[in-house]
Amino acid sequence: MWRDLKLVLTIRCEQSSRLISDECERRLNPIERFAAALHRVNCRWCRRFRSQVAVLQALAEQPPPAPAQLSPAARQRITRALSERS
Amino acid sequence: MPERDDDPHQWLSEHGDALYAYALRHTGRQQLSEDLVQDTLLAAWKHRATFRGDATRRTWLTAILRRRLIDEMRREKSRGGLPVLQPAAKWFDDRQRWDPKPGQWGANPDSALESREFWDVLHRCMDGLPPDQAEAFNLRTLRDRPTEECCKKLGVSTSNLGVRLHRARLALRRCLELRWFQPAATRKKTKPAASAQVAEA
Repeated sequence: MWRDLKLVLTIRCEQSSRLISDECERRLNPIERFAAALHRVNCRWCRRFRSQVAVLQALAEQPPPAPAQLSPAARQRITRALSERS
Repeated sequence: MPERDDDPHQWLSEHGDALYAYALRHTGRQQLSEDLVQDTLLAAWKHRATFRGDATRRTWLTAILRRRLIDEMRREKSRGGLPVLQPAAKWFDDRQRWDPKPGQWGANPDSALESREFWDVLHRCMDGLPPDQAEAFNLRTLRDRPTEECCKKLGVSTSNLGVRLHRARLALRRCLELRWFQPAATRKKTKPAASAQVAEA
């Protein structure tokens, strides 16, 4: 009880950001949800962080638009290594 | 085995991109993936006599790459117990408030995901993460593997995975802001006064 109350009263950005990250992984308990939401009412930076984490989460749903390719620099480096050792 | 196919330079030009894409999907890291492609081609050249021709050249090269990836994962797992986690505190001041504060990502940040260049920047940002965090973010977020599978592969507890993901998200958020979102915003507003917050980038 005291721990719950303490979380609600003392939560700062660092802990709020941890809860924002955790809510991608698990369902927060009601006290955590309340404390984090209450903190965000007054904290635009945590609101912003939450929306940016949502963009990072979307990476899983959207595959890259084109297949990855070796950069010209990497290709050159590998060509050199092959020439030296083959 | 046809003579003309027995040339590592040709393997690089024909299969280099495919091997790189395979490595990138499994590691999420650009530099590491490039190194793995190089190691694979060198190992393939060294053991070229083992290629029997009953598989395609690409299958054979991919099998070599897969073994290298497994070795790399093992190495990372053995490092898993070491305290290589960076303190999250570097993103916050001593009163646990944002420092630096998260910047704007523009009106429609989701559209960045449609750009191949954005993904390249992301993979470069992943190179900058401590390996334990990069591995956790790649498995859990980019490859969308279940938590239990991630914990098992990385040899960590659920709570430790949570710490790694939190730190990875903090670092990637910042890196993408500096390397992608803020430069993009600067390009758009060329004429009026330059934004002061870009100076940091």
